[in-house]
Order: sequence, then structure tokens, then C-alpha cells
Amino acid sequence: MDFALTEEQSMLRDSLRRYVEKEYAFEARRQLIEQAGGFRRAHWNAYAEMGWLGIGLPEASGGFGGDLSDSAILLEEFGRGLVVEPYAASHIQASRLLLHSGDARAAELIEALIAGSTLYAVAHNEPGARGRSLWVETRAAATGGGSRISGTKTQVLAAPSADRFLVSARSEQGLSLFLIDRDTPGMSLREYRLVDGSQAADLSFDQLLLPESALLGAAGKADSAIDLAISAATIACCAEMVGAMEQALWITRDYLRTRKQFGVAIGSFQALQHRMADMYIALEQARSMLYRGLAYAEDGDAIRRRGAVSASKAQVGRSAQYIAAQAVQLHGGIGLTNEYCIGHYFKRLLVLEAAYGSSAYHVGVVAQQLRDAA
Amino acid sequence: MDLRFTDEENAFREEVRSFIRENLPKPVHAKMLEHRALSKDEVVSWQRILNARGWATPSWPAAWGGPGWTAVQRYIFLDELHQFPAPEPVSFNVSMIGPVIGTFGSDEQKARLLPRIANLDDWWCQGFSEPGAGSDLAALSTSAIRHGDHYVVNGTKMWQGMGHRADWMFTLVRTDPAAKKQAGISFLLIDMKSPGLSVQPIITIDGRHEVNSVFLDNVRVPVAQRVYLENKGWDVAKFLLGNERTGIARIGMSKYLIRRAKQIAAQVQDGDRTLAEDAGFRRRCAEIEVELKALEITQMRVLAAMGEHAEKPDPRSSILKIKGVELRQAASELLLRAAGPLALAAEGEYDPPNPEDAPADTEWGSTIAPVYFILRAASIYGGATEVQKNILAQAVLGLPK
Ligand SMILES: Cc1cc2nc3c(=O)[nH]c(=O)nc-3n(C[C@H](O)[C@H](O)[C@H](O)COP(=O)(O)OP(=O)(O)OC[C@H]3O[C@@H](n4cnc5c(N)ncnc54)[C@H](O)[C@@H]3O)c2cc1C
Repeated sequence: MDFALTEEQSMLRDSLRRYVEKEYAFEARRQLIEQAGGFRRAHWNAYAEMGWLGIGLPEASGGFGGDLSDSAILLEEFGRGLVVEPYAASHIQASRLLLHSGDARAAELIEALIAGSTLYAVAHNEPGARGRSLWVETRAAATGGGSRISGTKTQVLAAPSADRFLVSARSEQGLSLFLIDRDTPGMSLREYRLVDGSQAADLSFDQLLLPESALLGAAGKADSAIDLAISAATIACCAEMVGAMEQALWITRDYLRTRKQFGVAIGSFQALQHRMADMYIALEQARSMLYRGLAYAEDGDAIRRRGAVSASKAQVGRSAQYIAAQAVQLHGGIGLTNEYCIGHYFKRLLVLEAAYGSSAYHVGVVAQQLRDAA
Repeated sequence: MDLRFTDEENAFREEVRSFIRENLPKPVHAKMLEHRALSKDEVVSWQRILNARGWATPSWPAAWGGPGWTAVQRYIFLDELHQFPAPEPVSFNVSMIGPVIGTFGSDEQKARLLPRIANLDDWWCQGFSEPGAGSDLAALSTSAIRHGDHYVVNGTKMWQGMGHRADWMFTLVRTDPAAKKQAGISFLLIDMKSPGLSVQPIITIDGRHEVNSVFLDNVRVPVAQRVYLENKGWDVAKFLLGNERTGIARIGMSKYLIRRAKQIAAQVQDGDRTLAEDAGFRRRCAEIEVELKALEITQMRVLAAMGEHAEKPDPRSSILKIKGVELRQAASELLLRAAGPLALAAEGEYDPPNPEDAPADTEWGSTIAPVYFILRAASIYGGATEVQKNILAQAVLGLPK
């Protein structure tokens, strides 16, 4: 094992940090959420210009090679700075869906994704799924050359800004993926923001007619692409959470050094020192499980991959809940205001904890695997 | 020992329950069921309904115009309000300033203020905390300098709950800057309409406006609006802070949050079943309910050992505060878990343009996360959990300071 970053990776991290600190400074981020609705295409274009949309993708499609560990460096920095644009969904998950789709157009589509010229929203999650990666009730029926789809997708991140949607639907043949342009007539979007300011929509399709070209890959054969994409996105989400909780921890440490009550820095109270030590332990446990998850996130053995991914999300989610709650607690009242950063870490971590299945859900997956193996 | 409620106590519970059922306005109940914020009018009119029945001031003795209930009756009354759920009488009035006036006020102050406090003719807010004085309240620096029959008050108060609705603020100010900390403090009543007083909202992470900063810039306060002796305000403050005993654990609120979580779990889809069928969810419910039952009895034991408005608060009541908040927070997490993704939309953003078309179970979702968010404050105000644990360790267990 080797946990050290290469020189290139350190440089990448430094440039990410500089960019995020500037573009997502407290006031800039507030405006991004309140005035720009939680998504700026200019940011996405900047990611493309800086090459950040090519990280971890094959050179053959215009990517820079490397793997999910490289993307994790970016995601940690995005987490640290509370970036609200959904890189895990619109980049990691979308790129894997294209990559594993088996579609002849995949390389070309990935090229446009890397260039930032197509922004994807992944419309896969449904109200009843609650973390289940292959839970799809949206129906697809073949008609003439094309298909008709009906169903509801929920909390589709970046949907209000996306150029195209990657939509999953089920037919007699199994799960299929469709590529739907945003201006397709008959699509209905209900747009809203989540509690962390990120942008989402619910999509509903009522007998939406799609041409044959909308089908991505072979009909009924999308299970494995969907599952692989979710594994990668879940671990990407873990990386973002580790970045966010680490930053929340150090912000709290700094506050405890400066805030005075009873004539001393509150950080001198041993009760609070022990709390911070517990937070630090939770952080290190989360980071270790992120690394373990990265090792298996793209493993071809589905059982092994799912077990590792669930174990990671379970640990990272638990650590995040603890660190977020204690970061607020140790700040006292100031931790509760919208005008101070720590509450925004709390809200962001809540949303990420729920994304791709909560820790309670993923502990259940690990438990189920124990049972299956017995 | 008699370890169950008596027949009279059970009958009293029934009486309270049917009164609430018959008198709480339906729209207020609907809002309470969904954790929505109430308007000032709604709170005032409900308190007046209770007051007309003689129930707006559960902890007051008959001499102040209260119902003169036993500790058990007070507990039952609040428990019923919380579980229904109905709003509790405004605590700044009824649990804080009322008992202070009843105990320390002059006869004139009692006669003039107590009825108005009970009827919410005046809405009070608490002006204790300051930017630099939170847990260490005695470090407060707002100054009051005496000029004849007035004090001139300068300083900044922070975190005034409902300060924007308030007519009056009870506050702690420093009248003797030379004295050591607690010794130089006085307790003043300040009209919120006084020239030089201004209120600025603080928006909390639930996106709502409940707390405020209050700036005092050369505010003139008549000496007659001081309660108790000059420089003895700390005695009043200690009494007030130690006073809110009955219902401090707010067990009924936790019960309601759990009830709602179960209702939602029985409706929402979790794969090919409802969430209520999930063993992990049910186990978590059970864990919280077991602890709540224990706390309910602990509360009764602490209450039984304590007199009404005791001079010295029972330090064991810190258990009620710590554990009560912990369980309310746990219950709100359970509710959040039940609502799942439906709770993640920002409040006000998910109101369906056309409710008919909306998936049946989405409209309520966005009022749940705010409950979870604002409950983080409950382990910070009213004596933070850490500070309460210091009290238990030192005052009860006798560990060195
Ligand atoms: C929603 C809300 C409503 C409020 N309403 C009112 C109101 O109406 N009127 C009013 O006057 N005030 C109100 N307050 C203020 C509240 O009383 C203070 O927030 C509280 O006293 C804590 O002070 P602080 O926020 O300055 O935190 P601090 O005192 O700075 O505490 C920060 C952290 O240090 C810990 N800590 C402090 N001292 C010790 C110690 N000795 N040992 C171990 N740990 C310690 C605390 O527990 C906390 O975790 C409200 C606060 C909130 C958040």
C-alpha cells in the first residue's frame, strides 16, 4: 500500500484549493445559491478549461487517464469548500454510465462531457428506492422504432441546468438507459433547491415518446452500467464528505482556540478537548474507509464491490453525522446561524449522507451480505 | 410508593385532553402537526383561550392568579399539549418573567404585570445573552448608568427569541462596573419601543426567523422598572434560570415526533414494502421509546423531591435537560429518516404548483428538516449540555471544580 500523493496529485490539489477558496468564498457561495439557483454553468466551463472534467477518464476518449483516486482528490477539495455543483452525479456517475453503456457513440459523448459542452443530469433515483441501486419503476415500452416511457424520477441534481438527461427505465427485457435532450416536448420538471442550496428537480414522464436514437446501449442490458456508475458515485460522495468533515473539524478547532468564556479559551476545557479528539478519530476512520472504497469502487466482482462500497458509505456517513453535529454544538449559538459557515457544513453533510443511500441503508446491505454468505 | 398515576390524575389528563381537542383552533392544530411556524395572532389567541380557562400559567400558585397545580398536574398538562400537539404557553412570559415578578416584584409590579403576562397582553423576550457572554453569562457587559430616576443603557444583546414580536424585554445589565462579575448586575424591564433600542433579525440554519440581536444605544429606562435590588440582579437571574423545571424534558414533544415518524414510515415506500416493515427502523424507534419511558419516571422522581419554585434548584434536573434534549434530537433524526429524500427539499421550495398533481406524500416533506436543524440549538440554550454535565459532576457527584 502507498497512501502518499504523487507530485502531480499534490499540484492538482493545490490548484483546486485555490480555485475553490476563491469561487466559493462565503459571500460568493451565498450569491451562487440565492441568485444563481445553486448552479453556475461558468463554473462547470471553468472545470472543463482546467482539465478537471478529464480526470480519471480514459485517454482514448480525451481523458487524462488515472482512476477514481484522482477524482477523489478533486472531490475532497470540493467538499472542503462546499461546492454545490454536483460533480459526483453529473460527472462521475454520468461518465461511468456512458463508459459502460456499450454504445457505439460512447467515446464521442464522453468527449463532449470532458469538454464541458454537454452537461448531464442523471435521472435514475426514484421515490421508492431509498438507496437501492437498481430500483426502477419507470416503464419503457417499445413502439415502432422508438420507445414510450412513463414514471417519476426524484431529486435529479442539476436538472434545471442540464443539457441532457440520462434516464433509466424498465421494460420486459430489463433495465435500459435513455439519452433525453432537455427540450424534448412532453418532459415535465418540478424544480427546487435542497436544504444545502443545491439544485434539483423531479422529472415526470407520461407516455413520453422517444426516437430509437435515444436508447443508450442495448435495450434491457443497462444493469451493470448503472450499478458500476452508482458505486463510483457513492465513493465520490464519500470523498466529498471526508473533505467537508475535515474542514468542519479544523474550523471548529480554530474557533475553540479563540472563543473565550470564563476567562479562558473554551478549547482549554477538557470535555471539549475529548470531544474534538473523538471527532478526529471519526474523521480518520472515515478517511480509511474512503481509501478502502476507492480500492474496490470499480472492481468487476459486483458482490465484492457492493460490499466494499456499502461499508465505506456506512462508516463515512456515521462519522459525518457525528462530526457535523458536534461541530455545531461546540460553536454554541453561532453554529446555528445562516451567517456563519459551520451550519452550511452541517446541511451539506446531511444531504451527502442521504445521497446514494444513507448509512443506515448501507449497514443493512453489509448485514444482508453476511446473511447471504452464511 | 405508588408507582402509577392516581385515578384523579388520570381523570385530570382526560379533562385536559378533551379541552384541547375542543378548543384548539383547527388551523393551528394543522400547522402544529406539520411543524409549521405559527403567526403571532395564533399564539396569542390560543394563550387567551387557555387563560380564560385559568390554565395559561400552569406553574403559578393561586396567589399569582395561577391554577395552583401539583407538580404532577403541571407535568400532565404540558405532556398533553406537547403530544396533541398544541402550543405551550409562551415560556418567556409564563415560565420566566412571571415567576420573577411573583417572587421579586414590588406589589405594584405584581398587580400591574402578572395579569398582562398571563394573558399575553405583553409579549416578553429574554435579554440575557450577549456576543461575549453565553455560557459565561455573568461576563455580560451591557452597561446601565444611573442618572436620577433613569438608567441609561448601552450594549448589545444577542439571541433574543421572538424579540421581533416582543413588547417588553427583561434583561441583565451591569450597574457596577467596579464590582466582581456577578456582584454588579441588575435586572431591568425594558420597553421594546424605547428610543435607541433596535432589533435585527438573525436567520438560523432552518431558514426561519426566531432569534434577534437587540442593540441598546443610550436607552433611558426608569429606575421603577428595575426588579429587586440594584446590583442584586444575579440572584433574580439564578432563580429564573433554575426555575423552568416542569416539562423541561419536553417528553411529550419527543413522543409526538416519534408518532409522526411512525405514521410516515407506514406510508412511504421502501423498495417493495413500506418503511415501517424495516427491522432497523423499528429497532431504532424502540430504543428511543425505551429511553423516553425511563426519562418520564426520572422526571416524576425529580419533581416529587422538589418544592414549587424552590429557592435552590435541584441539580439533578440537569439530567432532565440533557437527556430530554438528546431524545428530542434522536426523535427528530428518526423523523428525518422516515421522510428520507422527501425531507431534503428546502422549505418553501417544494410547495407544489398544483397540489392535485403532486405525488401525495411530498407536500409535507420540507418542514421536517427544519425541525431537525433547530433542535441542534436545544443542547446549546437553557444551559448547554456540557455545562449541565459540569453541574452533575460537581454539584451532585462532588468532583472537584
Ligand atoms: C436558537 C437560540 C435561541 C436562544 N434564545 C435566547 C433568548 O431568548 N435569550 C437569551 O438571552 N439567550 C438566548 N440564546 C442564547 C443561549 O443562551 C446561548 O447560546 C448559550 O448560553 C450558549 O452561549 P454561546 O452561544 O455563547 O456559546 P458558548 O458559551 O461560547 O459555548 C460554546 C461551546 O462551549 C461549551 N462550553 C462553554 N463553557 C464550558 C465549560 N465550562 N465546560 C465545557 N464546555 C463549555 C458550550 O457547551 C458550547 O458547546 C439562544 C440561543 C439559541 C441558539
